[in-house]
This record gives sequence, C-alpha cells and structure tokens, in this order.
Amino acid sequence: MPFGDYHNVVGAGWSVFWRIPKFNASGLEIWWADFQGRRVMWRGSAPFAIVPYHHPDTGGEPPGPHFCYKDGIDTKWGGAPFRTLKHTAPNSGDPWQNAAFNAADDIEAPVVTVTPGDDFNPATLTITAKFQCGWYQYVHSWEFDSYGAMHPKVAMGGMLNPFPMGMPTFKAHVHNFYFRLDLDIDGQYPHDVCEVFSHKSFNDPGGDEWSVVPKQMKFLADIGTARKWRVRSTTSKNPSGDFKAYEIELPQLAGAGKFSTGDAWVTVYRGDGVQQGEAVGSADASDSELETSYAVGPLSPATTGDDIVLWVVIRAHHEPRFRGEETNFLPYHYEEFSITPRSFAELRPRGGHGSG
Amino acid sequence: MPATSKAAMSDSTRRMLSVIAPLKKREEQAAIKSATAHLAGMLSDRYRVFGAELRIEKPARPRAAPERAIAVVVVDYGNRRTLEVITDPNGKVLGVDERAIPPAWSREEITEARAIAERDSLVARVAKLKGVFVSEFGPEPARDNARRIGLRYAVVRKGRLGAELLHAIVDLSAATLVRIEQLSVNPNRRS
Repeated sequence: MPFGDYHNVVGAGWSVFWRIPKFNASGLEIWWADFQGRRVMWRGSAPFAIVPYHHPDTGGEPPGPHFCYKDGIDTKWGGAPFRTLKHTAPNSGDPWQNAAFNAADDIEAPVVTVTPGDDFNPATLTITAKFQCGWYQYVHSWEFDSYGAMHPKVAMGGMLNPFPMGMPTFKAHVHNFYFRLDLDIDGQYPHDVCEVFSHKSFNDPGGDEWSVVPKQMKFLADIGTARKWRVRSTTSKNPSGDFKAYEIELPQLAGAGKFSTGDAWVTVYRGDGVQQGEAVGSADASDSELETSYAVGPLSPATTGDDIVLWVVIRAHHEPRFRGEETNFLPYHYEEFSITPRSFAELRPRGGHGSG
Repeated sequence: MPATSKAAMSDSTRRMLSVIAPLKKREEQAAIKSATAHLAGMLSDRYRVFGAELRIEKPARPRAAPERAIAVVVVDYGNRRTLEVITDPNGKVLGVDERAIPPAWSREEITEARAIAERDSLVARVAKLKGVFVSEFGPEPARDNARRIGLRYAVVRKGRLGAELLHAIVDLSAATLVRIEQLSVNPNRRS
C-alpha cells in the first residue's frame, strides 16, 4: 500500500504533489506547489478539526465534559480519525458501517481534474479526496487556478450525528477546520516575513496599511478592518521591483470562541515530523496549544526574515435540516478560503500568451 | 515528464525528483529490518511495527536537495511510547525519536481491542445483536500515556441508526478494558 508516497500532477500553470500519509489519519496533503516554475508552498494540509456541539443532552456523542470532538490527527474527546475512502464511496452513512468503502491504496482515493479556462473562469487543477470521520465524511479539496491562486476547501457530508437525545434531537455544532500552510515564496526560505493588513479609513495616504508581524502569535479575524495576512519575501522581487507575496483572506462564517480561539497563528517551520496538530486539544478540547506551544517565540522580520508557517481556521455552523434536506444523508457543503498572489505571477489575458 | 510540467515545476522541485520518488519495497524492508534491530533492547515485549514511509525534511538551504529518508514507526505498548526510527534508503539508522504524533489505530489494533472488550459479558452480548457494528473513536487523553482506543457499538436498522448501545474504552498498553459506558436509546429516533 503506497500511502505516504508523493504523486505529481500538473495543470493550469501549476505543478503540485499530493500525498495521503500512512500513519496519521490526517487527510490530503499538498507538497511542493509551484506556479509558473516558481515555488509557492512547501506543504499544505488540513490535519484536524475541532467540533463543539450544543449540549448537554448529546446522548454521549460527543461526550462531556467538553461536548467537543477533535477529529483527524491525534484524535481525542470522542473524535475520529480521517479514514481514507475510495472516491467512489457513496455520500451517506454506509461507509461508516462498511469497511469495503475504505481505500486499499492511496491512488483509489483522489480525483484529479484539469479544467480549461473559459469565458468566465481561469483554468484550474483540482485534487479532491474524501475521508470518513465517524458518521461524517470530510472532503479535502485543493484547487489551483491559472491566475496563480490556491483555494483550499473542505466539505462536510455523510450523515447527521444520530445520537443526541434532547430537543432538538439533532444537535447544532460548529466544524472548525484547521489548515497548516508552509508558504515558501519563490523558494527563498528562511527569508520571508508575515504581514497583517488593516483598512483604517478611506483617507489616503495611510488608509490601508500592512504591518509586519513582530513575533509568533495568534490573530483574530476582523471584518471591520478587512484583516488579512500575507507571507512576503524579503529577497525575491518581480520585474516591477515589488517583493513577491501570497495573501490569505479568511471569509469567516462563524466567530472564534471557547474551543476555536483564534483565526490565524503565525509560527515558523520546525520540521515536517512535528507540529502537525499533535497534542492540540489535550488540555480541554480547545486549540489553545496552537497559541501556547506552536505560535511561541521570536521572529526576525528586521534582519533575516523567517521560514513562516501559518495555521488558519475556517468554520461552518451546522444547524441540521433533519426534517428536510438532511434526513437521509448530508449533501456535501463546502467551505473554503483563498491564497492569492501579489506581485508574484505574470498573467496575460485569456487568448493572449501564457495564461488560461 | 509532460512538457507542461517542465514549465510549471520549479528548479527546486526538479532537483529533488529522485529524492521524492515512491518508496521502493526494498527500501521499506531494509528500513524496517534495521529499525527493529536497532531498537532491540529498548523495546518492551509488547510492541508493533506500523510500517515505513518517506520522510522528506526541508533542507537548511533552499538550493540544497533534501535527504531521502524513511521513517519507521513502532508503538511500544509496554513502555507507553511511540518511537520513530529514521533511516537512509539503505537502512542505515540516522536517528531515533520519541514520536510526538501517535499513529492512527491499525486494523490489527482494532481487532485486538474488540477481542479485549468482548471478554466482558455485556460487551459480548451487545456485539452479537443483530445489525450491530463497531466504529473507533479517540477517548479522552490518558494521563499515563497509555495507548487507548474507544469502540462504539451501535445498531443499524433498515439503513438507519437504531441505537447506540455502549462505548468500550480499551487500554492497548495494558491489554485491558478500562470501562464501559452504557448509552440510552433515543426514544424519538426513527428506526
């Protein structure tokens, strides 16, 4: 079984490798994402989810005292590992109960598609795989477009948690999906800085501002200031003389709270065998370890720069439609965010030279 | 390599293509053999080799190619720890670490845990009910670092869940059933 191998796919101006780890039950990983012959990302993954439920009458699923699952890598508190499914496995409760839908081999799992650009959209390269997690299914999907952007996505499917006993019987909950992003702008690590954007007013100059992140730390989203983040090279410039960067915008549909305490964590690369989400949730089913163990230490934005690793989270508050559309199965519901180039890509109009 | 990939792939990636090529059976076997030999004397009498996979770490300098290394994961139940042995492609041991990430439960472990749980008469009775199936989950963390697994016994009727019957928490390190949590059947549930 070649789980753990790296598989190359190309399209839409991208070359990327995908991998499903052998040991971690942590879903689909993307490695060595290159656009137009230049490195963008060393590794990207979505290794765990934290899922708090309305309570207390959950029927033991999830169990108290936290009533909150940690799913995926190093699963805890009643959560489940991400079990790799054949891509043909049905979106229903059946794969929960039947191991015949498990992928015996990693190449049974993903679907890779290359879609040409059209009158409205860029060309895309998409890698998608599904994973059973208890009664749920999580779909991990990474779309790479010919504008140079990456669109990581997660879908929720399978069947509703059937165990809660109170009213309503199918409990609302929040899926908090955590992504680890090791961006290496033009491959020039460790010479990147992380910056945070703030829209202050419409009065220029100074209406919009990028500030350097001075140390490893946690951030909250802030729609009032259109907060976003970027990883910017301090050494590699485009032909216009601007430093190359990739920006991350998080379209949050639910806020941070007791269990999912932040929206972005700025950390540094400490290896590919550690800090993949292990031990998160140990204390109280929250993500507090991202702040207390991972995003800890100095950065060097004024001197050498760093090899920046970001953790970001996207959320979906799920109020089950158990008397209607979700009675028999959960139609896949996607949440996503975008990682977009700034001063990195050279684009041409469609029909021109070299673009989609 | 298709022509399109040459334009899209960076020089950095192209330089490491041989390093990140799929793991060969020969490499896997050499790594596991070396790892188990290296750990002899360090392991308790109850351990399990989970297998091997490539481990590619980022090199210190961007222009350097990474090293092709193989990680062999061994769960040592008696000593309540997970070890990771890193070897080169020829099986030479490069290092041993206590692994921060416990591996997901293997099929063999789930089978073993069920056997342990179903020594209990109640669990055994539930396991024989018509339509029952078992799925695994992660229990609360064990303070003594024991490798634990949760087993959820539930019943499905007519393709819909009829009832969840019990949780059994099994300590694979001690090969014991830690506890059973009996769960009530939801009277409102359709079946």
